[in-house]
Amino acid sequence: MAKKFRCTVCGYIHEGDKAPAECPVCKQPSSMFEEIADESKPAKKGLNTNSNVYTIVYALILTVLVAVLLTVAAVGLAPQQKANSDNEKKQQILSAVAEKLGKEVTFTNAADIWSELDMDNNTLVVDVNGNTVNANAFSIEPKSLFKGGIVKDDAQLPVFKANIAGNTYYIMCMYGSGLWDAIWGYIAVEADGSTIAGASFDHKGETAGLGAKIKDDPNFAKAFIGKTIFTNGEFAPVVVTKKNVENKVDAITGATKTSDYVGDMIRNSLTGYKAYLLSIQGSEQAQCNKEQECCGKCKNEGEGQCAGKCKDNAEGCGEGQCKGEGDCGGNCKDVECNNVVK
Amino acid sequence: MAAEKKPGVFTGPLWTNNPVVVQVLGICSALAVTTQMKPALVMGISLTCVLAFANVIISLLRKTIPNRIRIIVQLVVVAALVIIVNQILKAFAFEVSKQLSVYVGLIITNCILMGRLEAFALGNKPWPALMDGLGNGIGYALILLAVATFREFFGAGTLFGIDVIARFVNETGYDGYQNCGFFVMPSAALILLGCIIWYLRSKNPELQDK
Repeated sequence: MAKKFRCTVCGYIHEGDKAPAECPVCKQPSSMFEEIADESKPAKKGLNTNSNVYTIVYALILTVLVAVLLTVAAVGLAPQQKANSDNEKKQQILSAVAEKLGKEVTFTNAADIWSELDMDNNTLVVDVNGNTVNANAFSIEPKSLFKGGIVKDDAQLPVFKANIAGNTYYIMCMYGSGLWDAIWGYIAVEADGSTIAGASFDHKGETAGLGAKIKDDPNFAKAFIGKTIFTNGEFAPVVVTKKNVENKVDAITGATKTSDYVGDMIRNSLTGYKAYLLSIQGSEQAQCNKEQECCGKCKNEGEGQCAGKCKDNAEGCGEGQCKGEGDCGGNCKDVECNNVVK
Repeated sequence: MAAEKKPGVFTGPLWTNNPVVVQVLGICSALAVTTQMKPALVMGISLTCVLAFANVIISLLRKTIPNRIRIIVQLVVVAALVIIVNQILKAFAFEVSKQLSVYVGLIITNCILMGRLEAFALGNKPWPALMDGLGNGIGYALILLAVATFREFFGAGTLFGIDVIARFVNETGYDGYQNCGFFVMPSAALILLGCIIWYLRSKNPELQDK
């Protein structure tokens, strides 16, 4: 194989094993020659890595290869991933009643507790008017129920009933937007349809150490226990704030915005469940539990009417003229509305 | 050339050629994930793994990659790698993947990755490339942990989520310490990084700008 040498002065190219003693054109000595790389070599391989065709083919092959890899990974692992995310959902739902269970719900024991409580057969789906709908509660994605942070009119809302130590807790889903990304959670309500029995929160991207505390700090969720959704029959869910008000949970220091959004999420999400919660309150069991509170409220309007009045509040109001106004629980206390019901 | 590079390839990035404080790569994520030690550690480990693998893959492909689209090729390799790893974790180590999910985007866009792929893996054999990836990843993790230690301790009074200061107060009765909210802010990370760079340069005169 002949090597090539180029004269650095005149550019003459000599082929041979070594540089010529003298340049035949400009008479320079052999030291002025430099060897030039064999250009024919890469060409023989047929791979000019800088040609357009090579570049395009390379890009195509790479793209197809990566696409196939990703598809195989996504499809092949899908069942396992589904099982995991279902398990995580169970964990989140059950975490809302962790305090009542008396133990922490972890990713590992969630499935066991779930079947222990027979949760699969204790679910129902309600619409925004509180009527039961025939649907699978567990497969409902909370995200799909909301539009712009507000419950859709035709939303089908899942309710999970946990029977623990003779008490029934109604676990409902919440979804909203946090400071950076989505936040969601579950809130458990006692049989009176108003007292909160527990809550669990999760988030997609709140700031670690600040907003992420809604999930990481167990005391935040615990603080909701015992707070109420209705005050004196009015829909007024617990608020998250630093202000000194009734029925509130302390906001997280340094995460005022995330705390605000959690409060918004609770209010907006429970608005969808309001009718259903009122129907729980109207049921016999709830009536008994609420007797004291009920009588206290009715005293303002005359003691004698207590029992009947409360029934009206729950039943007559729902079926009567007030229905159209949507805000049944609150409106019925107004004089105007009372007249209509009477 | 290769023989002289090898010994320093792994140990160099740990300190005297550290990617964060000397090469000044990956500063953005150093600010974002250092409020607590746990996410800093997770991010450090994930980046080390991704960087080591990506370095080896790019190093193996280095002779075939067309020069004009090399950045895109690097990006595709890194993104595919991160997504596949995340998919596998989602299926078999779900809790780890949950912690990681926030950082996936941060890993793909981390300047250390592109910096090392472009500067080292494209011109070196797979073995030194692997060492370079591990060294830079660990060097990055060390700085992240150092910054996170200060920020978590002074900002929240905890270390790895353990409430050190609250326990100290409980046991000794000394009180009067207020968590310093400033340390939770990203600007504190920048100042801490500055201090580390200051210390490093004063110890290593060869790093000082003339």
